[in-house]
Amino acid sequence: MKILIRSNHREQEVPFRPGETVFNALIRSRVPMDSYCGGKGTCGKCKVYWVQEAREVLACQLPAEDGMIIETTTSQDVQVLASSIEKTFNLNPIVAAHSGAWGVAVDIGTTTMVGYLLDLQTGQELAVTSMANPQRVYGADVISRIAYTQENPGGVEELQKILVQALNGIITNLCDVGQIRKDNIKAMTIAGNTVILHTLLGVSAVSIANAPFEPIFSHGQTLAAKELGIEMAEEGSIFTLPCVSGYVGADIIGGLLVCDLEKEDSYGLLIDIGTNGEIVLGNKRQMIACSTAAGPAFEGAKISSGMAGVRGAIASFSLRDGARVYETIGGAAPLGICGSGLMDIMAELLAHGFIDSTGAFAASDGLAPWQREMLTTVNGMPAFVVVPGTDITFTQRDVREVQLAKGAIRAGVFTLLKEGQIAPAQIGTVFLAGGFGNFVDVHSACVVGLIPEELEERVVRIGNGAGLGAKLCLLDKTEFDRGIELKKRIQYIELSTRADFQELFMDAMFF
Amino acid sequence: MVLQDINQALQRGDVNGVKQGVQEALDNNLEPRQILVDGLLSAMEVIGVKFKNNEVFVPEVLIAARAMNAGMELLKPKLVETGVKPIGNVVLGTVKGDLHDIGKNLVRMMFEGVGLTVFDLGVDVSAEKFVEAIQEHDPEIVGLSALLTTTMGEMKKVIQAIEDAGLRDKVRIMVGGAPVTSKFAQEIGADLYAKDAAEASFEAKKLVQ
Ligand code: B12
Repeated sequence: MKILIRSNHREQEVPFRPGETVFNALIRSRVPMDSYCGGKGTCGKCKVYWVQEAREVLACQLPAEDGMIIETTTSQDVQVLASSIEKTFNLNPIVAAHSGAWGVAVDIGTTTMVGYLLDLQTGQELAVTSMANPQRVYGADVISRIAYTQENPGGVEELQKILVQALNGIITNLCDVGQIRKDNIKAMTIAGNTVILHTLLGVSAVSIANAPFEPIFSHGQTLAAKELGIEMAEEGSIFTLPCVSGYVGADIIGGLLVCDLEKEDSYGLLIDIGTNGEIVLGNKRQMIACSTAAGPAFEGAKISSGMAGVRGAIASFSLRDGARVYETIGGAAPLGICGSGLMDIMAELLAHGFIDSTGAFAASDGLAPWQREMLTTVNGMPAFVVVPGTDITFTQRDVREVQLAKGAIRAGVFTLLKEGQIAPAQIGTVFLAGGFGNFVDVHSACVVGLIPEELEERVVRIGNGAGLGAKLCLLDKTEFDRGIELKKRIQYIELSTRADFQELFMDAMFF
Repeated sequence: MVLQDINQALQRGDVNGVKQGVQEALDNNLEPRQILVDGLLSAMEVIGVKFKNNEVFVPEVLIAARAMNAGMELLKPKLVETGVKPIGNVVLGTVKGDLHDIGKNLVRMMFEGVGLTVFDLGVDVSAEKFVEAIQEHDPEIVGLSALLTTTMGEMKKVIQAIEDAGLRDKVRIMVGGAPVTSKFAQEIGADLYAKDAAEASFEAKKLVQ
């Protein structure tokens, strides 16, 4: 029993099991699919076109039938962050290196993964490659993926297998570009969040999803490549960076190795914004960290005209002399709004009084005529027309989603400030990590209040901190040891059990 | 008129304004029931409608609810004295494994805003605790909240436990939380789903009347 899949002008036959949905059949055959809920029918992202019936349906709600023809339109690969700031280090590789010994550093993100090929003897970087995390089809966030393993026997192994395959794919790519053989790769260091590292090791992460969110392991692990099925030197070793807690992972330790908070007298703040926002505040004397759930709004999800940062997404926006000025990724015709565009639009609407400090659209009698012309109504609620003549709008509901996401991050920052008893102005540097952190306009982020506004001049982007941290560990084993020390030093603050969080969150939702 | 003042103060979230108004109304010998219905509850209803339409958001609802609570503190003894009863009882909580409570708190406030008495069991509440609370408080409605895809399934367990305890026919079960859908509610055998706190309170009010 097969269904025929057409995507991007290619056709492919996909087998299915009786009673299975189209979504599950596609996943098993590794057909790329968008999904945020992991097939629960709630996110609406796995929409496909059923050719015979000439209508759009959610693949996860559609029982597979023999001979069905299905068209998928999965977005192209998301922009990946591979480059980071420069960082000096001593060459002292994590495994004894002779000439012709290579190492691979990998950052496994929830959405994308990046691999670097490095010469262990010289420290030189030979190649970089990236790809979408194939676990994406099991759900956009890690919780949905855990839910999948809860509901599907063998799910843990499935998630592991697909990730190991992807790592092998990364190695193949790197070896192709670097023109070396796989068995010359002696070591691999891996950064990633705690849940991803659990899935990599084939360990169930269910305990992280439920209160009190304890991981099964958080120490850095050393494994034989053979054991995991990673294609590199027989005797090769794999090192995972340590994690702080269930929701502050090895990716954050990686970032911390880059920004050196613990070496300074003045306070530094590291913010890594994805669907979760991980935040670390610290200096020589104390280090505290928390994780706050922003949700996928900054990745364009749950926003009416939102989309990922792919071709056609509006990535920057401003109002100049009453006119809209915007740029799209790839210079293509606008299709929707991605995270950085969203922040720009929000900031401009606030700056020009379209939206008040509570997040409500201003009454039209308070607006100038040119402003009124830019507004419309969507489902009976006010909305800003982003691109005239299209249905790309920014609605009152969208503002509310932004408020939840930025409120959660800002409340996380303020909880740490409160816990450390320090004022925002005492922070010397704000390090922004992660894809969104790299693309968002800092001024807009400050106007919206994602970052305390007084710190605008002190923001530094570190790009892919996790990847750079993994590289440092590969080339200098004292950096790996420093990561272990950092893990011990950091005090983790659990936000969900704090009585004062609600109050801080409410304050943080206002503009 | 003082009831109008209370109403306006509550909508602004003005705690002192509401307290003063309620005190003044009591001093003027207005009926406690009338103060409740025309002063406090009608204002919460306006807030509820605005919330539903996205005109106001979570913080404003919480601020308004705080003002309502301040007024209720003064009013409650008088309501009891004059024999005014709540329109019904609700047992409410966030299911086991889940610590999200802001949505659930909002639902509680809106329930109180239509005159229901709410027994809020808090977060991370096990199925047994729900059953015990039903036995203790004999509510018309049980409300379950879950914000995580991994804890949604827990709702089904709670419903099963209520059934096993022989209490299923005594209560109407309402479920909600961001990932919950009406389809899911049906699948697990809940009676009602509401997508936001305002809708939840309208439905709850209908149920007990
Ligand atoms: C604030 C927040 C938190 C706060 C919670 C504070 C608190 N005391 O509640 C903090 C930061 C502590 C937190 C922690 C976590 N969170 Co959180 N959180 C959020 C966030 C940003 C907003 C939730 C919220 O309060 N909304 C506002 C309220 C008013 O809306 P609501 O809850 O939906 O409730 C309304 C309706 O649903 C309905 N309703 C709710 N309950 C009920 C009940 C009944 C009976 C009825 C009828 C109706 C009803 O009425 C309410 C009002 O209209 C969401 C993302 C988002 N944008 O939604 C993530 C989100 C829910 N969290 C998420 C996660 C993963 C977590 C964590 C597990 C991991 C982490 N560290 O990030 C932890 C652990 C907490 C836990 N397991 O309980 C995920 C869940 C993903 C998934 N697939 O399930 C989300 C969706 C973000 C994301 N995509 O990553 N979180």
